[in-house]
Amino acid sequence: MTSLLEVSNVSVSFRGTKALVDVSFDCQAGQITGLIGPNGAGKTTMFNVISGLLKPTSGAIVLDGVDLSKANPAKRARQGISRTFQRLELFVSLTVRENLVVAGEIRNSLGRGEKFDVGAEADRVMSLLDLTDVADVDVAALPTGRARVVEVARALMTRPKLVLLDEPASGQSEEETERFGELLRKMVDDSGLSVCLVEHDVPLVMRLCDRIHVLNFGELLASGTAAEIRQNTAVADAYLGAPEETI
Amino acid sequence: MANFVVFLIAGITSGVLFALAATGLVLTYTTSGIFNFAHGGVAMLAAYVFYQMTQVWMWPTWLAFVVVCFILAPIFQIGIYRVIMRRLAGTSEITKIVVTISLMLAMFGLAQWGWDQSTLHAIPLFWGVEGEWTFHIGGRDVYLQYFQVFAIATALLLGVILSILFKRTRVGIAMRAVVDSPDLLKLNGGVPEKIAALSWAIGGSMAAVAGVLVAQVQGNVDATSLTILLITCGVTAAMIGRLRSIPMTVFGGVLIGLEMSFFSGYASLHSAWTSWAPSFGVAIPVMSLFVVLLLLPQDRLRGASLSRLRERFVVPTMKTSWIAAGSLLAFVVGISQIMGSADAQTLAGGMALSIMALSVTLLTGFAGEINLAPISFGAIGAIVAYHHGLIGPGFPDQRTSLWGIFLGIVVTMIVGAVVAIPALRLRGLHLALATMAFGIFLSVFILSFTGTVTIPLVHIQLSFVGGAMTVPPVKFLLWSFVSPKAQLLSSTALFCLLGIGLIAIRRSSYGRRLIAMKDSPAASATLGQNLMWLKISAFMLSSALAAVGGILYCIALGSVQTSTFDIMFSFALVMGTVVGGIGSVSGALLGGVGLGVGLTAIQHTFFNLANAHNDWGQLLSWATAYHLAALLPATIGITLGGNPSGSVANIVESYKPIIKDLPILIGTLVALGIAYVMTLTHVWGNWWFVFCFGIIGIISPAVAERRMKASNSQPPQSNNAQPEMAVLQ
Ligand SMILES: Nc1ncnc2c1ncn2[C@@H]1O[C@H](COP(=O)(O)OP(=O)(O)OP(=O)(O)O)[C@@H](O)[C@H]1O
Ligand SMILES: [Mg+2]
Repeated sequence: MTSLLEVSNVSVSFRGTKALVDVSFDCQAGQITGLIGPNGAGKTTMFNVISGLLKPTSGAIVLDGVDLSKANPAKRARQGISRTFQRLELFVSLTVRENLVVAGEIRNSLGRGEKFDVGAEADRVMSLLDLTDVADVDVAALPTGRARVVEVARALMTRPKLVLLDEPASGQSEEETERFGELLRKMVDDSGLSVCLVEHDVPLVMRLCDRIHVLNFGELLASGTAAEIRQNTAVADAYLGAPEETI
Repeated sequence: MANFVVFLIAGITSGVLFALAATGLVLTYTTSGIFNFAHGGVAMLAAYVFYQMTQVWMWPTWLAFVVVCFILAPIFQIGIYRVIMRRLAGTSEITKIVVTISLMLAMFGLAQWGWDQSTLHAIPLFWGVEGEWTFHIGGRDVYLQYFQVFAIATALLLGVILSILFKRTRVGIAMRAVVDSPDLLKLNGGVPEKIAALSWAIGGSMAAVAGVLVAQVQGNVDATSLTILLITCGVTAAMIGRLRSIPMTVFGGVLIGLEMSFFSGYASLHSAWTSWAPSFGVAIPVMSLFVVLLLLPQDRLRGASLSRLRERFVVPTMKTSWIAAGSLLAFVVGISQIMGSADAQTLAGGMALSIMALSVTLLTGFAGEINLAPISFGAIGAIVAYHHGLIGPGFPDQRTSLWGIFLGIVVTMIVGAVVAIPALRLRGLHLALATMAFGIFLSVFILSFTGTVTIPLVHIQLSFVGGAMTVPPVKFLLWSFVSPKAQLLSSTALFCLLGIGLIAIRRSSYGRRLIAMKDSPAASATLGQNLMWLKISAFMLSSALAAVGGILYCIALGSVQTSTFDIMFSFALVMGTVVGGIGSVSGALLGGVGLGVGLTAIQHTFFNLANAHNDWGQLLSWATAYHLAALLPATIGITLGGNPSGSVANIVESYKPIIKDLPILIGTLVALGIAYVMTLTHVWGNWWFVFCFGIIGIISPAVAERRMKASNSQPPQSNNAQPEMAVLQ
């Protein structure tokens, strides 16, 4: 096992409030890595730092041996990082299909990997994620749950090495979540994709993730397998402090 | 030393007044999230009303001052908030900007209606010019006017009253909470209505005080200069306060006042600078505005949170676009047969404006970048074409060469890129303000300057010689497009081609990326899109369109002055385009032609009638109709809040029933055909055609809709059909 992404000593503060304090963790290639923690723990902030949208006060981001700490978001995308957004960032003037197509087109213009037929790839990803029926629907008209899946599909269109998913299951029904989890597992196992998953649905995370990191008030509280995390008393305390948010 | 003191006193006086205006702007912005471009308009109107009361009705000065600033202005401003601003929730930034710009243009229309703009409306200083103290400094007399003391004291008093209000009263504390932490309030479900309304009222008072007193400093009320001065200085000061901090805003206002006073003061003392000195008046604040905007901390890349926006645009297929373009061309060829040359000339100008409007469609509608000065870019193209493209002998036989046009386009594209590069970090409102600063700078500094302006190295001339310029018709290979009809048809054909090109762009990978950038820069960037290149290229393409439109517009007008490129005119064009529909080519057509032709035509008709029937002199006279017609576009703009996708969408919607209803469709076409033939054969005049056209255009969709409703509401054929329908649904 090699670590695909290495986050070291990242700190972020917003006008005095510390959102992340000296956080280090890694994501292994070909695995699903979970990043959990109560509301405001700093998970989204961490994703913003990894994808280059937010400059940390200090710390380094290394992907596949390449130091990306100074790179802009586009450069990081070229290196193979892709993400979804908790507060949806779909291209709302476009249809579902166009959202995927434009992502593929941007990816094809980057000169990373082989170029592919964008239309065919969009169709493939849509059928993989059960989006074919809404292909020509304006994304603005979709319910949140479906829209989140479109975000995932769009992120996959760049054929990333690592995809960061920020609460992809929220807004989805129980069955949808179930199915989504299976799909994710299958993709990781079949295509060698690596995933970093932020999710409040703790059972889902426990079931799906190979390794889990727990953030609390901007600090890394624990790291380990699902079993280890379940045993961890500090984690239990942190979550007991805010029990309703874990569900 | 004596000079220094004089400039210092003058600077502080105007500075505190700018600070007042700016504070009002910040107050209303923080409580409503709407940046009110009409703030300067309120100040301007207040000055006019004050003029009316004191100079025409001979009210005592103090009474007029109190009534205008503390009764009328707040009431007016609350009305604006209640009727217009409240409805803007959930619209995009450009819609908000355009609504307040429309409001400002409407106030302009009101000022022109109420007070004849060709005469000077002088207001004497409070206590007159003799009301002053004299000091001796360095062997010279230095005067301190009672008025200056009054202005500063008033500003201070308002400041003290405000701070007491903020610190001691419940509403005030709530208001301060809004100003201090708008985010927190947003979380709690927004600003309470009453507080917002109150802050708009206070803002109105501050604008009015500033307007009345600044007009006194200037010696008279002038709609354009007063509004521009207050907009630029007020906005600059407000931006120095980052639309947040009132102390910083006050500091900014005083700073701008001092800057202007010292620059133009000292410049006027040096002979080398005297030709520039008057231009410093407004150039200083707009340059400061540009700098301040660039120094603002960078906005974090974020989505425009557009998902809840109400705007929607349908992209036509290429086939539809070709058909639409063909129909437009056929239509224009048709009506050009029955038009006089003057009308054809006006319509040619409208087509040129539509081409300029396409630049707004591309940049704002597609790429989401706001440019409030499209006409300024057009001006650059026209000026370069004029200086470098003239061929042939003297005046009537001179032509503009394609080379000149090409050069004009290239230079404008480069200027576009140069404006875009510093503006790369700016988005939304900030970008709008930066482009506005650029536009004002161009018209008050470069285009007003009487000497020669040359771009170094390439020796391209940008001077506006003699304050007027005549751009001759285009010569293309062997053809010259001299007659108005030739100009009209060539402009229309060009508009069609460029429009189709724009739709092709929108449907291309490049176009999708522009849309993606508009909808979510953050998502675009994390997918790997280089936003810098995309922005610069969009700015350059849009500049090229503006240049083409600008050149054709100048040709259609014949002779142009500095005022042709006034920022107000740019505002009106942006407004027209947004009203037409910012995301669509048809919106640009409606905006450009509407601005260029509709307004001129309506104004001409009513104005001629007004002159003929001057003696009616009643409120309901033709002159009223003329002014109402002038106010119409702005009024439509103000109502955008109710229909942010623009009017084309609505019009198309309302005409759909006709296409589905064959008898009505045929009837409409036949009626139009008869009206056309009657006009062509001179059975009746053009205005009858326009009249019939309008009537048919209004009646036939209405009839079709009624017929459609009637057929829809027919009872179902059999009862069995109903449950089936329910199952299907
Ligand atoms: N742009 C910002 N400005 C100021 N504070 C911010 C900003 N973004 C996040 N924060 C703060 O940083 C902390 C971490 O926020 P973050 O969104 O990363 O949490 P999260 O773990 O994703 O929470 P959630 O589960 O609710 O999504 C919070 O206290 C939040 O208020
Ligand atoms: Mg989050």
